[in-house]
Amino acid sequence: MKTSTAHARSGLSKYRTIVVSIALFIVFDLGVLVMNFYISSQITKDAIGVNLAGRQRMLSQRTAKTLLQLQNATQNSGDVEKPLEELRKTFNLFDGTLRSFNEGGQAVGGDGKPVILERVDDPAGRAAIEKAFAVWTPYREKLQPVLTGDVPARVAALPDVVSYALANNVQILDQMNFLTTALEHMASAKADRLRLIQVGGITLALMNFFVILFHFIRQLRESDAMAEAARRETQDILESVSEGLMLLDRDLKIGDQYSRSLETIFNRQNFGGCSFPEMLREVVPEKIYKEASDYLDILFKEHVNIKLVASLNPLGKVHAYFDYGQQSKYLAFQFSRVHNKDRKLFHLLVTVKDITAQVMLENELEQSQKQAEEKVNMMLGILHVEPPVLREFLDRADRSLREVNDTLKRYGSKRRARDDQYGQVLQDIFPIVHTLKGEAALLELALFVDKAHAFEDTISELRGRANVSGDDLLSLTVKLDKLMSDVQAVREMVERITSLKETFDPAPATTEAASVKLPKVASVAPAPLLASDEFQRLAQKLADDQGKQVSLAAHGFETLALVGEAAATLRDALVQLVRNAVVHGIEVPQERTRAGKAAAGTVRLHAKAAADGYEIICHDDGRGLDAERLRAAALKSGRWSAEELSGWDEHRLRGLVFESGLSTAEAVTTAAGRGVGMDVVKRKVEALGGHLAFATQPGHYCAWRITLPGVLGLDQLGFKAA
Amino acid sequence: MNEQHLKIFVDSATHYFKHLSNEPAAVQVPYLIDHDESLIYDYTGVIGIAGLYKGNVYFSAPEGMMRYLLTTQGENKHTPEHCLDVVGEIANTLAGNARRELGSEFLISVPFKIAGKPDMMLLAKKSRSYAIPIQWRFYMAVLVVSVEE
Repeated sequence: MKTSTAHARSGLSKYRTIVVSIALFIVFDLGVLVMNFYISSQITKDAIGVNLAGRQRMLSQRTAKTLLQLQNATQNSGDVEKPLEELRKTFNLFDGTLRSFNEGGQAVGGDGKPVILERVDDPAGRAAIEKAFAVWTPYREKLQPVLTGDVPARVAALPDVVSYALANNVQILDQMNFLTTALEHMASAKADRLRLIQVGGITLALMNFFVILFHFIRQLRESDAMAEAARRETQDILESVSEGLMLLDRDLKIGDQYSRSLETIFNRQNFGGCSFPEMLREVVPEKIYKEASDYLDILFKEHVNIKLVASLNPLGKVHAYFDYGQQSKYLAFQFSRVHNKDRKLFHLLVTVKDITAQVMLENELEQSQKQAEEKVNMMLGILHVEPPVLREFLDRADRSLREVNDTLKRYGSKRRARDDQYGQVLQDIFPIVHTLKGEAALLELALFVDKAHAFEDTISELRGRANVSGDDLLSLTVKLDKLMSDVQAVREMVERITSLKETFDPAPATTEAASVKLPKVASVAPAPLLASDEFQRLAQKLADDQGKQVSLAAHGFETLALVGEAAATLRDALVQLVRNAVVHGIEVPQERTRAGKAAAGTVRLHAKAAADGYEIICHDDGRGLDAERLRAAALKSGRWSAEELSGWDEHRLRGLVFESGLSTAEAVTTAAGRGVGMDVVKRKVEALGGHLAFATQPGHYCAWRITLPGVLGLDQLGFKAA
Repeated sequence: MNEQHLKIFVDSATHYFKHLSNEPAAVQVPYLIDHDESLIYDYTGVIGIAGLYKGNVYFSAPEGMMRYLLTTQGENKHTPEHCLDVVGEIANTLAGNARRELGSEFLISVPFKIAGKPDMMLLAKKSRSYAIPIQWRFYMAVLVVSVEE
């Protein structure tokens, strides 16, 4: 503000000087001109005077000559009229002109027209006139009878006047000569004065001109220096500022002055005169471009409050693409109005910042926070499980997920031969995921239960579709990847927890510690896979979820010589049997009470060595296998008609429990409802070389018997030669 | 890398075939591969990804498929350069669509193309890569998305 006032003042001062200088210049020139006019007119008058004075010399001589001619004509009786007329004319002309020189007034000019003669005041001229009058006055009187008298009078006067003329003629001529010379001197003096005035005026004008010139050159140099300094300052700012700065006019054209950073931000040069919207169009999506164009229109409407519409700025944070999409950046545009002196909106100042690094950092931060939260939740979800057990689960989960991936890979590498190929894929991977979910539920690992359940949801949804394509399966692969990542993340976490535990509680190298450090040994050692407390927790949780009461008793498992894969497989089967018993077998307390049973149901797991192997029984005192419910489920599945099913006996109907995708549960939950369970148990038992059988009495019990051959899994212990 | 991101790449590849030959390509069962698994055919177009996500996406196809594509386009010359041009064009399509559709977390590089089978492609080590088999006519190609955060 201060600067602008100073500028205004210096501008006024500058104008005052130039106005005064130019006024002086004009005054000098006008003065010279006026004087020139005045003196020129004087000189003109003087020239007439000189001319007429010169004519007086001639007239004085002509008077004398005409007198002599008249005398001669009179004496010789010649024609007197002509010389007399000539004499009259010459006399009048000489007399009138001499009077005009003496008193000032009208005279007859050289061309016969009247001219005004000024009275001669010059002393020399005056003297000449007076002397001329002294001679002329008697001369004139003597001439009167000649000019106006009759012939006798004229003849009588003529000798005297001729005699006078001859005596004084030269004197009159001399005086007229003096007069002429005096008038010439006077005119010459005026001409000199005029020259002097002109020289003086022009000198002053020139001096004034040089003053102006000097003053202005100095001012121009100062202004140039100031402008150059201001330009340099502006240039320095524009060169060094990290933001892109530019001015837009009402046509949204970019001004010639813009910051160097603009070139860096937009990867181009020469913005001056370019259309801002067109430049924008090249780097942002069409939708943003259109919104930005509308927004810029609003900004140029002066009645709109720019602060109120700032939140509508579509370019506040925009993703821009450069070099034909080879490079992308996040840019932030800000707009400010620039007004002129009349407070009229003149320009828009655009500030552009490259905020890519900032946005990336924000994204990374957000991502890190999300990951940290996930890890905390993950940790909270696994803390209740002992590391060796968890590690065992993770190994099995890893194997299961790899099996799923191997199945996908197997189908993925084939050319599509049959339309039902995808259905087969889904059918193959479903039991694997289901088993994994069961194991996770056994350990109360909600993270894996939920994810495996979501995986099952996706499979079920795809199985329900009439047409499935390869890219529909992409969601399965993504879920598989996430599950694998979770397994890996939990494994890393377990290792970290174990490491921390060892750091703060360095225990002697006991068997347990060794098993922690040597996971491979843990995987083949007879880990407590069949520990009853886990099954009790599983049964309890399932019962709680279903509003039931249950107690689980397990015994005899210590006699089983099962390790590694075989133990894991049996464990999977037992998990499924217990789930089946609690979910489908045990009734809710009210129903049990009505049936005369204890409110809490009982599940018993019993293992014993048999003659040719092992026998494991899972018994529950629930409702048993209801053939009619199975019939209804089979009908609902649409695989069999009512007519077909009506012909089936109870034994055949109960055989439906081994059908995949058939469930008697009313709704799908994480516990049941997929119709996958007993078929998986059967496959697993058969994979161990065993058999699965069941016995049931509706309303009283259901018992499953697994018979396994000899010693299983001991070949996996990896004995080495002693 | 979520399903939506993957679909952008898959759709770009399949639309390329549909646009070029009016015969859509079929996506086969997608699966995961580890960083030490080699899955590559005769010609491969690769785009690099930087930013919040890092890695690469490549489309690899057997020579037969490239030749057939050239024939479909009325090109009788089936030199390795011609085949490379085709796979380069597919990679360009992938890169172009990715730049348009993906968010700022993805900075897409200029595509490059490879003839022959390198011993190993540089796949993401921290996580698995997605292998999406694509069948067009009798040929199987693969789109591999190998990106980690």
